[in-house]
Amino acid sequence: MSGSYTNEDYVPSFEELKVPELPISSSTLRTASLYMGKYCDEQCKEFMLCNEELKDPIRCLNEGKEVTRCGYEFLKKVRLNCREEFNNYHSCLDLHGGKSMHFRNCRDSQQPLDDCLFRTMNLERPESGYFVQRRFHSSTRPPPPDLRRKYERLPPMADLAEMPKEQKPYPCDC
Amino acid sequence: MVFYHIAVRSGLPCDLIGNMAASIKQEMPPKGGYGPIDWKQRIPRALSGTRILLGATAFWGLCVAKKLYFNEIYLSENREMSDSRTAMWPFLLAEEQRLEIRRWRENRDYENELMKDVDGWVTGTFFGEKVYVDDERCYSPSGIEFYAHNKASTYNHHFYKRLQRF
Repeated sequence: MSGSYTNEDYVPSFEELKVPELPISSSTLRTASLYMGKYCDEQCKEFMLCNEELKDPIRCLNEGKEVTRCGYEFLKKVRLNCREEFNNYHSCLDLHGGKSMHFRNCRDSQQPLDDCLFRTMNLERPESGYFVQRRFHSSTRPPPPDLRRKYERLPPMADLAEMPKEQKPYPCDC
Repeated sequence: MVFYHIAVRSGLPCDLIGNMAASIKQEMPPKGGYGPIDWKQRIPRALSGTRILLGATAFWGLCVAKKLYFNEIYLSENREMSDSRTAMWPFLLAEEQRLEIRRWRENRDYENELMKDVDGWVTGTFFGEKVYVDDERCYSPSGIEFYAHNKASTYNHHFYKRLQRF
């Protein structure tokens, strides 16, 4: 389905696109990112695999919704269980993390959050390099279609002997 | 003589000037005269090759030691930040794609509304002629098509942000 849609094509309506988005700012996202990525690992992998295979946002809409729902669920759980620790870590990253909100300056406030998440949700902080290494994912998705362009083969060239003789481009010799 | 001249011109009382003159002492060379003039040429001695080599080796060794000790720490920290970026990417992408699809839907509705009086016009095509040959693949609309029903300033803001300064 191409980018300019006719009335017969399926384009989701506004109601279908309306889901509770993650109500967080950049620093909160940085704080939660590693834990959230670990918690929603399956959903994220499924979504990214869909995007990689089909390259069509409309067909991967449900997977994306699932990702956002999982993130929302995680944030709710954190608010219930480890609210104070999360807020401490977040304010440390925001204040002392620098421009890129670096983790290295906030090891002291990171440890309580790690302990709390492990205690309540049995969620470990992924070791350095967890998301960079190659990971496997078993999906129930059917194999992707061949998206390569199908070119038509040209008919074979006519025999040179049967071709008409070379003519002068112009009848007069000017 | 000069001293008197200055003192009188300064307007001090004469008694005071006399006392000052009595307390003045002429500066003289030290007893036995000055020592000989030190005229000998002294050139600073250059560092020996051994010393330079030793110093350079020490500096190089320190640098290598620092590298050996801290490199793994730096790399792991940066890898952690990279992890963080990778982990948050699906969440951002999902939201971004939903916004994008919303705009595609809006564009189609606008086009239906705008071109309803034109005979033979089919939405998403040029009078029934398809824009793209391939129907299987999703080609996201170009910038001009995406912002077709917006002000020109919105398009410019997206694609030529630098123009906003002038």
